[in-house]
Parts: sequence; C-alpha cells; structure tokens
Amino acid sequence: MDLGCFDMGCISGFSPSPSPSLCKMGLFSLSCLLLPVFLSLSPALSTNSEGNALHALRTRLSDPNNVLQSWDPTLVNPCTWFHVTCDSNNHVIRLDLGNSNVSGTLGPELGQLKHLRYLELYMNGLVGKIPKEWGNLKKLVSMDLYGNKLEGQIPKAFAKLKSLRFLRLDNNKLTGPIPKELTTLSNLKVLDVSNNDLCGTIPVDGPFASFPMESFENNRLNGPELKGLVPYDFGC
Amino acid sequence: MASSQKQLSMSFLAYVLLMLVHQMPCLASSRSSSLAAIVGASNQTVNEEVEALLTWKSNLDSQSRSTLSSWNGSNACSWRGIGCDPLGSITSLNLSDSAIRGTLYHLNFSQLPNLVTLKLANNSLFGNIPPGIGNLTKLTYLNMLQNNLSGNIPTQFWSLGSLQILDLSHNNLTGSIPNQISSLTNLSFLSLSDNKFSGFIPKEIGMLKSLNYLYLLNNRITGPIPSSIGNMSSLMQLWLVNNQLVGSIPKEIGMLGSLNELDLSVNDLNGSIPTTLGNLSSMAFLYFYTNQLSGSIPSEVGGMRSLINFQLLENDLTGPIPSSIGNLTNLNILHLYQNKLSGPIPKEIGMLGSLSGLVLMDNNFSGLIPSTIGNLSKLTNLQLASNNFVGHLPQDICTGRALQSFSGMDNHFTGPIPRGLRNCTSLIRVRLEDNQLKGNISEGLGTYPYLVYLGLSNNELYGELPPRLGEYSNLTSLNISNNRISGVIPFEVGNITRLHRLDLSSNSLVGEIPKDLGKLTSLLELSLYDNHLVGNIPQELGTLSDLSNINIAGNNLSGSIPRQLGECSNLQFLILSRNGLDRSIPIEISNLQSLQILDLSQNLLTGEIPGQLGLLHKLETLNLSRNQLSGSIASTFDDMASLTSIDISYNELEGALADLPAFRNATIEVVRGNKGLCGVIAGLNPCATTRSKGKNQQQKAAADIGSNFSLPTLFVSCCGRFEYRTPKSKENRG
Repeated sequence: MDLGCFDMGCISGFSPSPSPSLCKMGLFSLSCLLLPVFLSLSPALSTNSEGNALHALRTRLSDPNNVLQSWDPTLVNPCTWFHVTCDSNNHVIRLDLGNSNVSGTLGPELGQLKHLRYLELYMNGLVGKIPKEWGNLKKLVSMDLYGNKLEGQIPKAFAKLKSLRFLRLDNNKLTGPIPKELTTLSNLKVLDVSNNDLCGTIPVDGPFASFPMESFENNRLNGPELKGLVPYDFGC
Repeated sequence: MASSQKQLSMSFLAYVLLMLVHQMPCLASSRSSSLAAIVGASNQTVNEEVEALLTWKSNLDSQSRSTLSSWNGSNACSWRGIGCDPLGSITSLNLSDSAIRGTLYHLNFSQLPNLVTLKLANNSLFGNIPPGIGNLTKLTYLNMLQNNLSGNIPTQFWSLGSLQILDLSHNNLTGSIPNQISSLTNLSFLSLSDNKFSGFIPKEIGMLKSLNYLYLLNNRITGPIPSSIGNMSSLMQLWLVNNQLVGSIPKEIGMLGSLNELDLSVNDLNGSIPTTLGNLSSMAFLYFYTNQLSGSIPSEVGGMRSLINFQLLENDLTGPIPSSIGNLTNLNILHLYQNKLSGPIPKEIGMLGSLSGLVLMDNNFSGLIPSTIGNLSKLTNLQLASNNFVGHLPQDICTGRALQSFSGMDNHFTGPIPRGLRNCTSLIRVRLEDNQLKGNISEGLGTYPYLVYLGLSNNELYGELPPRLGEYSNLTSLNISNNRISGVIPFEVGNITRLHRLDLSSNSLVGEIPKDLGKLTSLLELSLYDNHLVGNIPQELGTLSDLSNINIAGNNLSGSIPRQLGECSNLQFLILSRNGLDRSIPIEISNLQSLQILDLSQNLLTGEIPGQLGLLHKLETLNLSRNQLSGSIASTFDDMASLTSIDISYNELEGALADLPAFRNATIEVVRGNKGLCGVIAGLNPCATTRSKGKNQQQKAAADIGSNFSLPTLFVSCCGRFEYRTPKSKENRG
C-alpha cells in the first residue's frame, strides 16, 4: 500500500543529513549547533528496505534518459515507481530496466529483494562484476543481463537460484568457467552465455543436457565435458 | 598575525628586562637571571614544540608534507594552522580539511603543554589515538571528526579535565564509553557518532552537569538508557538514534527542563512512553520511531507546548490520540504511522494551526474524520491510508490551497470526492483507491497543474471523464480502474504528454480508443480492459516505443490487429483477448523481441499462425484459443525454449504439434476443439507420419473428448501482475 509522504517526507532520517558533525569547519558557534535542528526537517530515506535497496542501485547508475525519475525514496514503498512491479503485499516482484540507457556498476543490495521474480537489466551500459549476493534471490524466475559490459565470473552462488528458469548473460565480457554448480538448477530452461570470454568445459548434467550449442558459442570454452574422457575443468 | 605576535612578545620581554635591570640594581642580578631563566625556559618550550611538530610532519606521507611546506625553521607561530599565545607558545593547531594522511603516533603531545585547541577534522588520519594525548592538560577544544581513527580511546584520554568540546564522530573507533567519562566535568559538547562504539552507556554520564549536546548516534551501543540521564540538567540535545539500546525510556527524562531535541529512534526500546514527558516545556523535536514501544500515547504529551516535530512511527503503540494534542499549537509534523493506534481522530486536531504533515496511515484508526480538519490551512501532507475510517472524506479540505499530498486509500470512506479538492490547485499526489466513494468524477475533479499521481481505482465513482484531464500536464500516473465511469475516453487525454501509466479498466466506457493516445510518447502501460469500447485498435499506438504493457481485453473492439504494434519494441505483455478482432495475426508481432505474454484468445482471428512467432525467444505464455486460426503449427515453434504455457484450443488447426517443451507436459484442454491436430498429448491421436507442413496431408481428426466449457482464462491485469482468476472480479490493490 504505497502512500506518498511526499512533501515533508515520511520520516526525518537519522542519516544522511542531520548529523551535527556538519559543523566540521570548526566554527563552534550557536548557529552551527542549531544547523542540525533545521536539517531535521529535510526528507530522508523511507524505512522500507526494498525501496532502499533499489535506491542504492539508483545512486550507482547514470541515467541520462531519466527513467528512474519516479524513484522517490521518501515514499513508503517503491510500488508506484515506474519499472518496478509489486505483488499485493507490496513486495517487489519485477524490476524492468531493459534497454534503458543506464550505465554504472551493480551492487549487492538487490540481493535483498526476497520476492523478486524478474530481474531485467539487459542492453544497457552496465560494467563491473555480477554481485554474488544476487544468489540470495530465492524466487527469481528470470535474470537477463545480456548486452552489457559486465566482467568477472559467473558467481557460483547462482546455484542457490532454485526457481530460475531463464538466465541470459550473453554479450558481456564475463571470464572464468561456467560453474558446474549450475547443473543443480533443475528449473533452468534457457541459459545463454554466448559472446563472452568464458573458458573451461561446458557442463552436461541436469538442464545442461538440453541447452543448444548456440548458448555457448563465441567463448574460449573447451567444449562439453566428456565423462571419463575430458573431465570438468575446475580452473582456467 | 603570528609574526607580529612574536615581535610583540619579544618586545615585551625586552621591556620587562630593561625595567627590572634599571629599577632594582641590587636585585637586578638575581632578578635578571631568573627572568633570563623564564625566557630561557620559554625558549626551551618553544624549541620542544617545534621539534614535536616537525617530528610528526616527517612521519606523514609526502602529500601531507608538501601541504605543510610552511612548517620549517624555528618560528612555528608563523606556520600554517598554528596559533600561539603572547609568549610564543603554541596554543592551537588547526589542520582540518587539509588532506593530512598519517597517524598521531609520532606527535609527542607532552611537548605541546599549552595546546588549547586541536582541530584535525576531515583528514585521512588512521591508527589509534595515542595515550600521550592525556598530556594536553589545557585542551578545551578537540575535533577529530571524519578520519579513519580506530581502536579504543585510551584511558589517559579521560583525564583531559579541561575539555569543553569533544567531537570524534565519523571514525572507526571501538570499545565502550567508560565510567571515567564523568571526569570531563567541563564538557558541553560531546559527539561520538558514526563509529563502532559498543557496550553500555555508563550511569556516570549523569554526572556531566555542563553537557548541552550529547550525540551518540550510529554506533552499536547496547543496554538501557541509564536513569541518571535525568541529572544532566544542562542537556539541550540528546541523539541516541540507530544503536541497539533496550529497555524502556527512563521517566527521569522528564527532569531535563532544557531539552529541546530528543532522538531515540531506531533502537530496541520497549515499554511505554513516560508521562513525565509532559514536563518538557522546551521540547521541540521528539523522535521515538522504529522501536517496540507499547501502551498508549500519554495525554501528558499535551504539556510539550514547544513541540514542532513529533514522530512515533513504527512502534507497537495502542490506544487513541489524546485530545490534549490540541494544545500543541506549534506542531508542524505529526507522524504516527505504522502502529496499532485506534479510535477516532480527536476534533481537537483542528486547533493545530501550524500543522503541515499529518501522517496516520497503517493503524486501526476508526470513526469519522472530524470536520475541524478543514481548519488546518497549512496542511501540505495528509496521509490517512490503511485504517478503518468511515463516513465521508472531510469536505473542507485544502482550505489554505497548500495541500500537496493526500491519501485516504484503503479505508471505508463513502460519499463524494471532497468539494474542497475541486479548487485545490496545489495537489501533487492523490490516492483515494480502495474505498466506496460514490460521486460524479467530473464534478469532483478540478484542474491540477502540478498533479503527478491520481489514484481513484476500486471505488463507485460514476459520470464521464472530463476533458480537462488533458490539462494535467505533469500527470504521470492516472488510475481510475474498477469504478462506474461511463461515456467516452476524451481525446484530450492524449495531451497528457508525461503520462506513463493509464489505467481505465473495469468501467463502462464506450466509444473508440482515441487515436490521440498515440501522442503519449512516455506511456509504459495502457490498461483499458473490461469496458465497452468499440472500433479499431488505433495504429498510432505503434509510435509508442516505450510501451511495455497493453491490455485492452474484454471490449467490443473490431477490425484487424494493426501491424504497427510490431513497432512497440519494448512490449512485454500484449493482451487483446475477448474482443471481435478479425483477419490474421500480423507477422510484425514477431518483431516484439521482449514479448513475454501474448494473449489473443477469444477473438475472430483467421489465417495461419505466423511461423515467425517462433522468433519470440522470450515468449513465456501464448494464448490463441477460441479463434478461427487454421493451418498447422510451423516447425519454427520447435525452438521456443522459453514458452511454458500455450493454449491453441478451439481453433481450426490441424497437423502435428510442435515439439515444444510446453506441449510435452500439456493436457488435452490446450489443444482440443481443433480440426485435426495430432501429437503425443494424451487424448490426441498420435501422428500417422512425421511432422507435416501445410494442409496437403490428410490427418485423422483428433478425438473430441467431452465438451466441458469451464476453461480457465489467462487473465492479465495491468502493471505486469498476472493471475488466474475469473474476469470482472475486484482488482487487487497495490
């Protein structure tokens, strides 16, 4: 139930503004001490943790098209923000920022969105690593990060994404192996890691048995694990 | 300044010496020798001070040393940041904001005995605070905020009995506040905020009789607030916010007659709010939010006549708002949301002439809203949502034309949209969803140049949408779904160029979808389902490249699906079911690479299912049931790995089913009622040969099993939520 606390904000926060230590210029005067008194009136972040997690993402991103303009952190929850979808209990279930011309790095905060089902960040200018904390998204059905400039490895922690059906990480700069742990994701229907810089062998167990070879092309992969002949390459 | 002081001191000494030598010849020798000793001693002190500073400087990093390039020679009083007394001894060191990187380990404090002021704020100092700092016996002002100092504060620190101002905030300091803190008897300002202090607040803190300002926020302090806090008779501001304090708020707080700011928020405090608060006649800012406080708000709070900002949100408070609240004539902000408060809003609320923010949502408040709320001419933010309020909304709202944000959603309000809102041109955000409001929408709404969000869904509003909606130039979200609105969609709606979300679903709208909706270039979601709209789907919708949801199901739309919809490249949900759309499915739909749900069921579509639909590699749900589609399913569908739900029942399809994972687990319901499908689903005839294409091959007709028509319909609502339910049921809120 989002209920805007628009003007004065819903709460007067304990961070970031009303720190009396803003009197850091060392001028100890009465007016300096009264400064935090007036700062108490400025709006600050809501106590809603899901909204705060999304707001943390916003602070990392550069957003020239202003797609995040509606992301007002003083609102009680993020459920009226555009590109965010909530369920009837005001928990965030979708984040749709595909093809939005945003850039910057991802942070661990989104891992707190316990009810998230769709995480759509494809075709942007995102850089840096994929946070391993996103392995905590137990209800995630779809993660689309394709078409960015992400680097680093595919987190092993993604083996915890037990609800995952669609994982599209293609067209990035990911390195390292495809974690063998992903073979435990029995719901995984689509995996696309093509057009990266991955190495090692392609797992063949579990859902990997049905993925077409196009899902792995344009990497530095050694080819599929041939049991007994070419064992899984744990490092590369 | 420093050099002239030095000259002055030297001249003074010279003068004294001359005077004594001249006036007391017999004593001159001994006197002059002791003066010489004093001058010699002060010279020695000065030399030691210079040595101490230069030693420290030499152990800083090169960047810092170049910042301190003025630190050379023996005349320290001329150096950057150094202040001296008339005798040339260093009394102040001020290097705040100087990008100094290093430790304090090599600063020999015992060689700076006259230091009164030490300011090193906002640098990159790291390491511990050395015990030698206890040698600064004259120190009155110490400010080292915003560094990376770590470790515990050394015990020698607490013998700095002259300290008046102490600020160590925004560091990495650990340990607990010791009981020796009581020896800092002259302390008037103490800030240890934003560190990692732990342990309890010692009861000895009550002995700090001169303390005006105590800031311990953002640490890991535990234990109770000591009752001795009541002895801190000079205390004006107490900020303990964001720690792990437990226990109840001591009643001794009521003894702090000078207290004007008290913030105990974001802790684990329990118990009741003490009645002694009523004695705090200077109290202006009182924040107890995000704790586990219980019991009622005591009526004694009316005694806090100076109160400006009162926040008790996110606790377990019960009982009513006391009527004594009416005494708080200076009150600006009253935030009581997210508690278990009950009862009605007292009529005395109307006496709060300065009130700008009244936020009561998420409680068990009940009864009628008192009409005295109309007296609150300074009200900018009125939040009543998620309570059990009944009766009409206050009619004389917005008397001061100041109201910006007004929410009454999720209550049992009846009656019309308040007449006071008609001229309330200051409105930015209005949420009245989920009530039983009954009134004429055209009479209720005025013109709102600043309105960004208008939510009226799930009410019983009637009448026609006024054309002046087109003047809401800042409106981004318009939701009037599930009401009894009639008439047409005014073409003026196309002038709301900032509109991102348009939801007019579940009403009785007639007429056509205006072509002018194609001017809504920011539109993300278009929900017009369950109305009586007629005519064609405007091809102008194809220009809306940001559009992600279209749901116009359940109308009387006719004509073909415009191929221009294939240009809505960001479309994720396209639901056109339960209309009279005819002709074939345009192949341009296959351009919609982001499409997740495509529901064209219950229409009059003919022709073949375009094989290009197999290119929709993100499609999860495809419902083409109850049309007149013919031909067979192209083999291009075989690769649609993401498709989990498909329904092609009740068409005129024939041929082999695609080798889709979606079909492998399917039952007969999703394929029945066709002309001649074959495949591996139980109830279907198996295919005689390998998969055929086109209508050339004769196939055996699929067995028709029963004719049970209670098929569930995939029903997708706006904003991306979708659930299986029967149409026309009440929209979920959110």
